[in-house]
Amino acid sequence: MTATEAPKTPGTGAGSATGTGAGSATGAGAATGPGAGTATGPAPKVTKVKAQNNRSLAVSRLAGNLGSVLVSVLVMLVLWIGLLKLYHVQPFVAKSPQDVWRYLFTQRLDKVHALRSAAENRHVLFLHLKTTLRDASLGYVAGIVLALGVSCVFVLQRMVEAAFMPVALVLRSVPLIAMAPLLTLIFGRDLLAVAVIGGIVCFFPALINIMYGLRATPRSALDLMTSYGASRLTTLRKVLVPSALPSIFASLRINVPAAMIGALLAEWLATGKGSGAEMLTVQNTSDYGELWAAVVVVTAVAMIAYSVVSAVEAAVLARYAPDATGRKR
Amino acid sequence: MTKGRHDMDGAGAVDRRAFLRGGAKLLGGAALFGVAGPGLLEACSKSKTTSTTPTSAGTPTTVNFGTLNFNLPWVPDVESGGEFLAKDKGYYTQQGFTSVNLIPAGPTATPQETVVLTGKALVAVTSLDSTAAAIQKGSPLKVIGTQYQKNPFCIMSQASKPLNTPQDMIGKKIGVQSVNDAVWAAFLKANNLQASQVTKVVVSFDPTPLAQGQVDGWFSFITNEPIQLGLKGVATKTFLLADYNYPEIGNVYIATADSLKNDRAKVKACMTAEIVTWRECISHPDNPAQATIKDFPTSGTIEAAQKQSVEQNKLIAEGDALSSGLFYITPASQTQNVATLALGGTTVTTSQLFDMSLLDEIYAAHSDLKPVPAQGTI
Repeated sequence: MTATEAPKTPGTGAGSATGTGAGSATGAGAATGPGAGTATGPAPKVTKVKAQNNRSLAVSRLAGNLGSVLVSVLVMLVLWIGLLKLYHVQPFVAKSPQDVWRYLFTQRLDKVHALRSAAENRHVLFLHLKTTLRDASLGYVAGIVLALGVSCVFVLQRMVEAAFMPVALVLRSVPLIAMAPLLTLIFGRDLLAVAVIGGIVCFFPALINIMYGLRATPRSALDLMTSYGASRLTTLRKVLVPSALPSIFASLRINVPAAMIGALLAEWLATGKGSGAEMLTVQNTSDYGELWAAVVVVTAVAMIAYSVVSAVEAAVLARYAPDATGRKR
Repeated sequence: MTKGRHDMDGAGAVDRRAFLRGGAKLLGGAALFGVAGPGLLEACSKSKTTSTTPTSAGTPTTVNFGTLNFNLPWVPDVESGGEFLAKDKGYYTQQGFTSVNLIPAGPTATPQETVVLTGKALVAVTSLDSTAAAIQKGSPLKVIGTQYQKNPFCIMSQASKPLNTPQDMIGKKIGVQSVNDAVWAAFLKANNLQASQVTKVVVSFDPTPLAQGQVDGWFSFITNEPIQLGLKGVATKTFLLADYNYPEIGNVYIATADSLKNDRAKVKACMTAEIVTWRECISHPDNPAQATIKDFPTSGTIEAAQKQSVEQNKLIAEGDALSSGLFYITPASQTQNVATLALGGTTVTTSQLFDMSLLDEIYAAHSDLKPVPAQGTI
């Protein structure tokens, strides 16, 4: 899923999220027009205005993100209810949004039907969610850090890329479930395995994205560095990485849901703890209330985390790569 | 230019290879016929000898039930040898089905209860625990029979580091397949063990991690994994759950209350075929083993399949089956099983869980199917 997402993301930005962000950014741009024109005052004032614009750009982008989150929640609810109705899925298996609501907030203890109270349900869910969040963070950091390092090496040394790209491809194209027995044998069934499995899931899309960003550095900037006699490392640090910031953030963003998937997979295939393992367990004890609630909670968490990363991205890009948002426009 | 020619060469090579492969397939097919020919003939003669005793169940029916969707209990192996045998020998079609679709289960498949509830299968073989849990939560399912009068659940460990009792598992890592979670949780409760005292590791079906020492114990079927590892030279130690506060039937047949009412003839036809085929499995344990290896060559060795076939017959042709017919769950057994389930916190009544009326009708109509044949050897 993330593999198909990866190539298109650098080009289109974050879909609807950046769309609205860019829209309001144009508004801010129009407002600066007259101000800059009439004042023509001293330079510090202009930078102050610019900083303000940047901040309002970040704020409006955040607002845009929240708006798009609301819209996507609505779309999901409609799809959820609609598809279940359309395909007449057994209500015992297919829980509606109301069922999930009841499970999370209004369920009373019912020993006859083996139902826990809502408070207890939430307790169980969040206990597993805590584990999953830790696992997801581990895989996320592992995957991104590795992708950053490897993509820098790949860009600096084409020969290394030619030699090692197939390895990255193998990691991506062999199903994790097929690799799992070997991975657990080598890395055990604890945090290391979580980092490896989560890392594998996050690594490849991040690698491709970041390499794309590093290579998209303007030729003129590189020429400038060459004419000043800068070393390759200096060029990487001062020009390549900063100009790849939009791509780096794009991969930070798309890897949020990927990291959740990675964590769930690791819990399912290796550790047997956390939401991933729990989802499988409750399916086999026919506890579909918990299964659906867990899916909803995990999805919600992924959406929130995605929005947070988007907000950070907006703030950082507004400061370091203001023209990146312009380019997207 | 050179590149283009190279590519064309490549295409040519692929074509030649594909052609050769096709040829090999033809040869392989012919070889298969050669090997299977006598086997089939033998099988036919065998079925003739068993069906010369006039079985009303064996006579072809004129009804058309369409395709039978049947959910197996596990990944394809001789545990479902009876079903493969029935498919190969046409026992389902004899009962009026045009064809049969045997749906495999396994550690990551959709639970059989869900498959049956959603109408993707008419009948499934599953564990009593997961069905009881589903029924307690309000799903309209019924247990209509059981393959094993005594469950084969056991905890297997390496003989060098044996786990002899449930108490030995404290502080140890036990590999449990997610399908067996309901049994596992109930078994721990039945033995006053907290889930936190034993580390459960979610595992797949291949018990290699036990042999490699990744885990200390393995939730197994006594008829399966210990035999597999034994044939690979790994000595194992086992204890049965049934010997530690967990007496229970195993591999139960389930159907929805709705199909028992509205598709009763179909369910009955399916169960009749099941009785016919498993009777043959008991008297000729080699037949299901051969059928399994023929249909699923990668499922294991014929030696393992034969051993498992003989072992599982001891659980099927046992206890109440001998007096009441194959798969039958007597009222006394029903009460005991409900008590076992209650140990694990699943509280259901016998009438919520069991419905023997279908087997009653089958055995009333085909009294010749009721006597359980003597267990054959290989």
